[in-house]
Amino acid sequence: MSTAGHGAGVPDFKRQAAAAVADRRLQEIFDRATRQKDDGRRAILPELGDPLAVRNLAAQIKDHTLENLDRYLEQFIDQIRRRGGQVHFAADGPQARSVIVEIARGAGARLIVKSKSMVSEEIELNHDLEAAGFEVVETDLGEYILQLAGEKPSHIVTPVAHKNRQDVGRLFADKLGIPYTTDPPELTMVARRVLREKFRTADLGIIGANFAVAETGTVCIVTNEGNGRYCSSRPRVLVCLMGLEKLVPRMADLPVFLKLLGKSATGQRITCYTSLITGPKRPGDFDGPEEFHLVLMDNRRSAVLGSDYMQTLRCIRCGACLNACPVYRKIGGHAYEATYPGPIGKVITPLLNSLEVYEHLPQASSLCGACLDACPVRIDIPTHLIRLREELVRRGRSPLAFRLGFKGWRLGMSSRWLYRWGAMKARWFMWLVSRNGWCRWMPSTGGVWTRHRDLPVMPARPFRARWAALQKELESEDGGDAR
Amino acid sequence: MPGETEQAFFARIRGALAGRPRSTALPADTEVARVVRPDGDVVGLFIERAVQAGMQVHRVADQTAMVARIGELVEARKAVEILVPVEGIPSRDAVVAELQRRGVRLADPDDPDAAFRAEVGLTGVELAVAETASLSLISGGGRRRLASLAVPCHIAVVLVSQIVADLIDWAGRRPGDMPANEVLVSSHSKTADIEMVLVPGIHGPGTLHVVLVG
Repeated sequence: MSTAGHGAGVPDFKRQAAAAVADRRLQEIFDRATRQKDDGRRAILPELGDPLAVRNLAAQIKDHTLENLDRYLEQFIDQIRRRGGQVHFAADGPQARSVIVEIARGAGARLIVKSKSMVSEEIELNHDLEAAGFEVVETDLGEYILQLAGEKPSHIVTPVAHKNRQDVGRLFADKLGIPYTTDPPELTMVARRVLREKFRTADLGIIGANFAVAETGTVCIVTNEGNGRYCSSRPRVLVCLMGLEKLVPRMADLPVFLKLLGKSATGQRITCYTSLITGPKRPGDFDGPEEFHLVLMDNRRSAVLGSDYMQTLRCIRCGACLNACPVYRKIGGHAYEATYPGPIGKVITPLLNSLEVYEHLPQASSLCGACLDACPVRIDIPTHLIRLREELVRRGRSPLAFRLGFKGWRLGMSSRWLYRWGAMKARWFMWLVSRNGWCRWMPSTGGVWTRHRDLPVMPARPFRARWAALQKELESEDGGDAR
Repeated sequence: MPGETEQAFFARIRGALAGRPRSTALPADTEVARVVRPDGDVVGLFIERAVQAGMQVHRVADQTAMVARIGELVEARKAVEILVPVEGIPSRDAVVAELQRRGVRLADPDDPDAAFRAEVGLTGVELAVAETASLSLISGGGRRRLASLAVPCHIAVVLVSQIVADLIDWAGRRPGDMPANEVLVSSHSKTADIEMVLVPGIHGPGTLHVVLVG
């Protein structure tokens, strides 16, 4: 198990985040990778004319689908069965894993090729398949690199964002026995040769789903590399593992999401390959899977469905909020120790796992709102983070000093004179404990803050005093002009 | 089979939705997301965006010129073996004759591994979309899914009359009974997983020619 993985032990977000912030190399890699994608998104979104209207439309379609999810799921399942597909139901990860192991056994499979799927990462599917004796190969280049390294994704879209070319060169030299090179095209072609033979000889393919269309029973996946096409076209058996929230009602709704996904994820007008898969191959089809299995998984999504957090099920896993987030940019993906890192991960990881275990994630945000601005389906992540924080306080998961501090704050803020007096005292006090304009340590209640964040010293003159002076100045200038 | 029953699965979903208002309307249409109007220069936009997406576009006046251009492209590639679909491409007989005249071998139409050997895959398209320079390819009728995937070079024949303006128009023309497989090809295969360096041809074709007829 890699140290970067999240499977082992209790998550220790504070320690991981501190280590990431101290790692200069990691900072450079993530800064470049996230900015490039964030800039790309900003540059291309205006092509939509009125991007906000399109994002609102996407949110509305998703909300409608979720509110009527039972109906649309029934329609979707019915369509798949009519086309000869088999549908399986899984309440959680263990059930989904054993369903897929059974399908692979029943098919007499040996070699399994997998397209990139976050939901399969969520349930750590490969482990069970390998334990059952199957060879499982990740075919997205990034995922393949991670599989060779025994690591976890650090980004939803570009899973190997934390590695540079030297890392990959060393890994390939070590695991594939090729001469060491740091040339990305050369490394890529090495992977092409290895994986091409896997595609040719695999007997079972596993894909996720970016979207699913209820009215036609169609599963939609997008890839730039084409590996998703191979996995769904060549092997005799195809398994699609899908979270229950992926539906849209009509084929007519799909363009709205295809337009948003590529642009939000990587700044592309559209992803290179969009595959629409509707059941197994038909009579007269030259190639394609003879068996098609859909594995519909809940894994606590139904608990989110009726809750105050329902909106988070709109998520299309584009990663735009990760790229825009000042916290993610600094600490990278692994510090979260969760399948879904970044802003959306801070909300859904506690919801899909346990709020107590991941109690630090909702706190690890400045609530700046960059995630909401970036989200193509307008998920109000800051509000959901505050909601989770409230829940933590209600469950008594906040320190006494923290609660006392806020009691004092409320008292001080309710009276003008108390506020002035408090601010004056605070200014003196901070000046006493500060060095070079920053408080890095405070005793007692203040220490709850400074243990994790530095605090700038309050300016010598309060804002109200400077504001009053500025106004006086402006008034006298206006007067001068009038004369 | 392990897993749970359909009833148990749906019981949780219905329980979660019980008593909740189902108030958000499904928008009647999605026109607000339209980027390209059908009355503009749709063909010009398709060409512009196909080139931006890295496709090599060859516009020819008619199907005779199309046949000649396909022959030239295949020869320039020094291809010995090519995949030609049994149906779904205009002037198929003339194309086959031209390729044979140039000494190119047609792949065995029954060999499932032929796509892994052939240098070039020739296909028609179902539709093309100007907005995203997407080529819609469908399964059925003896077409190979791998003909546009496992070959290093894909040549797609597009008739001007097949180009629609926007993805909304593409979706509007999808049949209720979808083929087992449809793919929108909007560029050649590529990856940027190593340090965001763009590398073409990771799994699928690194070269994509569009022969545009009309």
